[in-house]
Amino acid sequence: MTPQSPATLERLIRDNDLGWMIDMYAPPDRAIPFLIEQLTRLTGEFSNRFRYEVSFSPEQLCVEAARNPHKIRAFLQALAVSGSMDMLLMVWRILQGLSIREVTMTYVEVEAFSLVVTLARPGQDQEELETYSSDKINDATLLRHFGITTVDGRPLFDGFLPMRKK
Amino acid sequence: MIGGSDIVFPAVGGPAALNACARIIQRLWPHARFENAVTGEKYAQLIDIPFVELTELLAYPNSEAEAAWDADSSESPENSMLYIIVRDEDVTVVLDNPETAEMRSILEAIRGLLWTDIQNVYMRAAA
Repeated sequence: MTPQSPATLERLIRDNDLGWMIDMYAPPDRAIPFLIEQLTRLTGEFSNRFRYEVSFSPEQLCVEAARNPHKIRAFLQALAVSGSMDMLLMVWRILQGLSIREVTMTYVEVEAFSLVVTLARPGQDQEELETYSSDKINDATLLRHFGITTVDGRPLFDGFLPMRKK
Repeated sequence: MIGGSDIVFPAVGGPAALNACARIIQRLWPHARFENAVTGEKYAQLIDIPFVELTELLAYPNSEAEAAWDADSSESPENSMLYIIVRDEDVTVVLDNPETAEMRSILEAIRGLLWTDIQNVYMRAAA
């Protein structure tokens, strides 16, 4: 992160119609520091899991937004609703091209929630699978972004699509 | 040859729609190669594609098919290239023969994903 990171992140968030992430935070002036902290944690989590570095700094997100704005919009929307590092990594990996191999959600009223998403590199064997999980019910919101379709009449989740205005 | 059929899907044209099409193509063609149809820039992997810059994308099932097209070979087999064109209101897939099982699968999956994208835009706009 750099001294410019907070301003860069705020601009990125507002440019993606997500200014409410800042304005509705209590207090609003703590929103950007909190989000910077989340992105820093995510950078560390990614490195721990995959043993190579990917920066989630605002500057790097801006670089990717210039090439693929829909991916960064979708990622920021996930950041807006989830504080789970596992879920945010899952979103990022789908945006990188991994396929959604399996989704398991369990819910028992006022008792339990569990969401487990297994990803795979397209065409790879089972040992290439990556599993991400959460017990936070707010993370069910993320499922709304999954692309829904069929192949030969069989169900398929594919991609993590941004919500957006036309 | 190419140009047998133009399959037009209602869509919210843009990088998300084109990315969705490319994902489906790579799923069913695991060794797919991609090319910017306007500039000729080539992409060995899906993640290399800067979707914001593209409105027309060529997809080949593998590097052999790509090489055959690059060589302007008359031996290029049927459906060895897909041509995707994104506009504001639709996505067009140009291909030789949409009636093969493989092409039916690709077109069915693309149609579904583009419909999800439409919902993500218009339901939000209506909220």
